[in-house]
Amino acid sequence: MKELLEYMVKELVDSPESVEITEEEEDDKTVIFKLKVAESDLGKVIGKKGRTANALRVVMRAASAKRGKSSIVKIMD
Amino acid sequence: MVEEKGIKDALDLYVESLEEEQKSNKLIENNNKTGKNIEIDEEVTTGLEKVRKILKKTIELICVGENVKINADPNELKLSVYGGDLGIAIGKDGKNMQAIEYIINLICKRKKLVNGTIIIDIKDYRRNRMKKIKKEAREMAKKVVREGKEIALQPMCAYERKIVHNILSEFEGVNTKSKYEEPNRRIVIYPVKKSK
Repeated sequence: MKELLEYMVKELVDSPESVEITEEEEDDKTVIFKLKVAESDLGKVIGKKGRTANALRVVMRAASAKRGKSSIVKIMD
Repeated sequence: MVEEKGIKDALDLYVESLEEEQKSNKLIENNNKTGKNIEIDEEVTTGLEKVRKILKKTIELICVGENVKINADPNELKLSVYGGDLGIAIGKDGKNMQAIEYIINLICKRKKLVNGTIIIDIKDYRRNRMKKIKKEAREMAKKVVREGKEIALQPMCAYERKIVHNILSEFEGVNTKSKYEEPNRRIVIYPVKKSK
């Protein structure tokens, strides 16, 4: 799942080398992904009115549902 | 009734396609003089092929272990996904598919892969839904004319609303408007009183 988030984000930003994702298990079923990108790329992963961030969350939720889990994506600044 | 409509639609489509063909023939003639025609097509095809690969990888990462096949249509800028159990990539009311489409289009714009909006369809979900929506819209328009009362359709995305507005603009005796806010934005069909 981390690979999926990493793949999408790296395709979206200008500085893919600055993309960092840490994965934490909240409990058996929930995974938290903390996403860090270059400051100049923050707007790219959030988008207008948070549309991009929402779309990324929807896709991550789909991927985790397929694996019988749920996921939370936090964008760190 | 259904068959009749089907035949009428097919005829309309055929006439349309003939007109399009004539237009494009003229375009090709013009382009052949400048020698540009073939270049443009190749550009679209190679750009779309790159998008196809990105989409394939994305869907494979979402639906782990499922077989994924994608056909590209450079004319409509459409990518049609087929394969194993891809239900989760479609999601309720196509919500997940729309999110995937949104992200893919962002990537596509950022990397300047293709000019225009890519349409993604998974297991013909969109095509079948569009068919259903068109049929329903026509039936509801008939009902509006018959009963003289407005009817609200189910919520639809912008693209679907555009198509319904289009087909009902040719339908006599009704008027359409979009009402309410996303994600519940929907079309309301109003009766038009005959004047004069």
